[in-house]
Amino acid sequence: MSGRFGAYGGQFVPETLMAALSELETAYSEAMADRAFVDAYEDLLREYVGRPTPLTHARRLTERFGGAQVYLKREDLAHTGAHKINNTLGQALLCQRMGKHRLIAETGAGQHGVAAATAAALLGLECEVFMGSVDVQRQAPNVYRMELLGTRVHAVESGSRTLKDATNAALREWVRSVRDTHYAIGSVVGPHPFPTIVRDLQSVIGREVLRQSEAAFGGLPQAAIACVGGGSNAAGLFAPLASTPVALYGVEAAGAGLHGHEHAATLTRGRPGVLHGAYSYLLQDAEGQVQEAYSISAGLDYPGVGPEHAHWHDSGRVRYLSATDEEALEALHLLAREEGIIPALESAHAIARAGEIAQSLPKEAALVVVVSGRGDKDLEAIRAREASA
Amino acid sequence: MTRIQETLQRLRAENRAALMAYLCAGDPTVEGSIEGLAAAAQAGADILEVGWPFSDPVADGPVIQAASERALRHTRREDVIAAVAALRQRVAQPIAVLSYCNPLISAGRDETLHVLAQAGADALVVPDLPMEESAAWRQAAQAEGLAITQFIAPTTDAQRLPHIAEAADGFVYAVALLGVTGSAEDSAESILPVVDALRRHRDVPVLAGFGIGDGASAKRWRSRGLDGVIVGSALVQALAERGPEGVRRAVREIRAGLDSVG
Ligand SMILES: Cc1ncc(COP(=O)(O)O)c(C=O)c1O
Repeated sequence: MSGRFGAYGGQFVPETLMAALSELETAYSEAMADRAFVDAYEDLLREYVGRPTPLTHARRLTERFGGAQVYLKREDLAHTGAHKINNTLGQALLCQRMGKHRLIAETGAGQHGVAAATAAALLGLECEVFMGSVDVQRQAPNVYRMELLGTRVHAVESGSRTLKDATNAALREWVRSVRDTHYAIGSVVGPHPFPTIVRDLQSVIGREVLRQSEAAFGGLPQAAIACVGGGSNAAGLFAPLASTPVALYGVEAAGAGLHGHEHAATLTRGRPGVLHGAYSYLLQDAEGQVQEAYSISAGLDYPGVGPEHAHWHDSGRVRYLSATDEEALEALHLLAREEGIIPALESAHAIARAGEIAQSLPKEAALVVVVSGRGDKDLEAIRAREASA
Repeated sequence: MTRIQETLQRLRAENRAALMAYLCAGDPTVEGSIEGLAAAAQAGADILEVGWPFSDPVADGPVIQAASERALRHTRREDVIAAVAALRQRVAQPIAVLSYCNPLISAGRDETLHVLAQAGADALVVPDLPMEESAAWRQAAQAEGLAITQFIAPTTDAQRLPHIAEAADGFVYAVALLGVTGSAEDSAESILPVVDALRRHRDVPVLAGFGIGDGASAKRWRSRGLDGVIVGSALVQALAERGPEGVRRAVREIRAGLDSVG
């Protein structure tokens, strides 16, 4: 494993963590070469997560858009309601394999925290989750879910009190407890080998899309689109498709709009820098201080992005677009009414840009949209926002 | 010979321990942090460490995090550089700058290294720059006469030590505990074997930092054979509570602890 995606990636971490990263890289390479490990992981994906998740032909949405046939990759139907479980089960198995008994994680929307808590409960690991106090408020049902699953949730009060600071807190805790604890990072971010491991574990999304596309319409889609926070559901879709001619689109959160600072459009508006162990794009001021991101969606509210996305962005292999809070809310209503699916606010960003892409393609073409999660966790926040509007 | 090498060599010849004193530039004000470090120098610090405040200090505990947050409200890049330059005018001691990677690369790494060297800095301590990532940095820094500090930690793998020893410039920073700055307990039993193993590759000065905050703990590390100690959180707290006089008192107390080891 190289640990670099073009110029991006690397291991910009305190010395204390270097041994753990190298231990993890070795354990991961050995595990992937071990049939028994891979079987155990795939069994869990099938029997516990409920994979493969469907590729649903969204007929009414297709008609509404009036272009390419829209297919939804239904990660909202994975156990715990989002793609995050694909990653946490793999990392929890790795944690066990390394002889560590404790899992820690950061979370924004709470989906990764819930997925980590779930994997820990299933495999009998201790689990602690760090969550910004703003997100604890925004995503209260997920806090309670984690607690029900036997996980301790720490509300992080430093900095912007969101995902960035939860990640700082988790890194600090890992430095302290690295000998018996695995840090299950929640996206394709952080120091090598995390971006590679998380991408590989999420690539089940793209592999299933390839197989299901063949079965549903006898070939490849013309285009595929996913939302990008740290970028794990998108990387899981893109990695298996990167060597095909499929046009790939990532959608970042434009929050209140790209003109000011209230957005999380890292690739669209940021520039390269080092945060959380990796060299990648970053929302930062002119002097290299990391800026607070903003999005209605807690899972996209992050000023960094995975280093492989930075590489795909620079190379032009993937086009990165953005959608505002308003556009995402509108898309959420649209999918609910047209298809009977309430997506997570994160996923609604992908749906918000899907219409234009579908319209730019002929009716015979297919467009795959990842619905990365379900919207139950967001209902209270949406209701409150719409009541005050 | 560089200013840091000269200082550490002289201290060794005198059989004295080195004391490196950290404060965060701009906390409570730019002027206040300069006064604090000047007071530390006067009270017996051998190396001054100027902290460059950063939004995401992952290696730091609550005390330095809070100092960094306070400083960022009014401290700019040019203030940090001016603080280094002001100290260079006032003290003879070597000056290290502690900064995370991102503020250093934001305006171009080589340009920033140049500006810091011009201001009078002697070394950079970059807590998120491990040996593996530091090669290009070292090359650029060397051209400016700046040292890039290497680290060892309780978890450092023996296989990496020859490379760390080879890359070392000035001194090696031994992280004295598993945790962030300002933590209470140390991990002597796990870092000391790493220090010994490092020295078998090369006889380079090793200073211990993280969690060392008073004369007693400084004395403990000195008697364990370290070349010196690095003190941060305790001085940040002393400055916040009692100003430069507080720093002076704290440094004197730590100095006395170090010097009590024969
Ligand atoms: C449903 C859902 N989608 C997307 C994301 C964003 O993460 P990523 O970009 O890593 O897929 C999150 C993060 O919490 C999420 O919960």
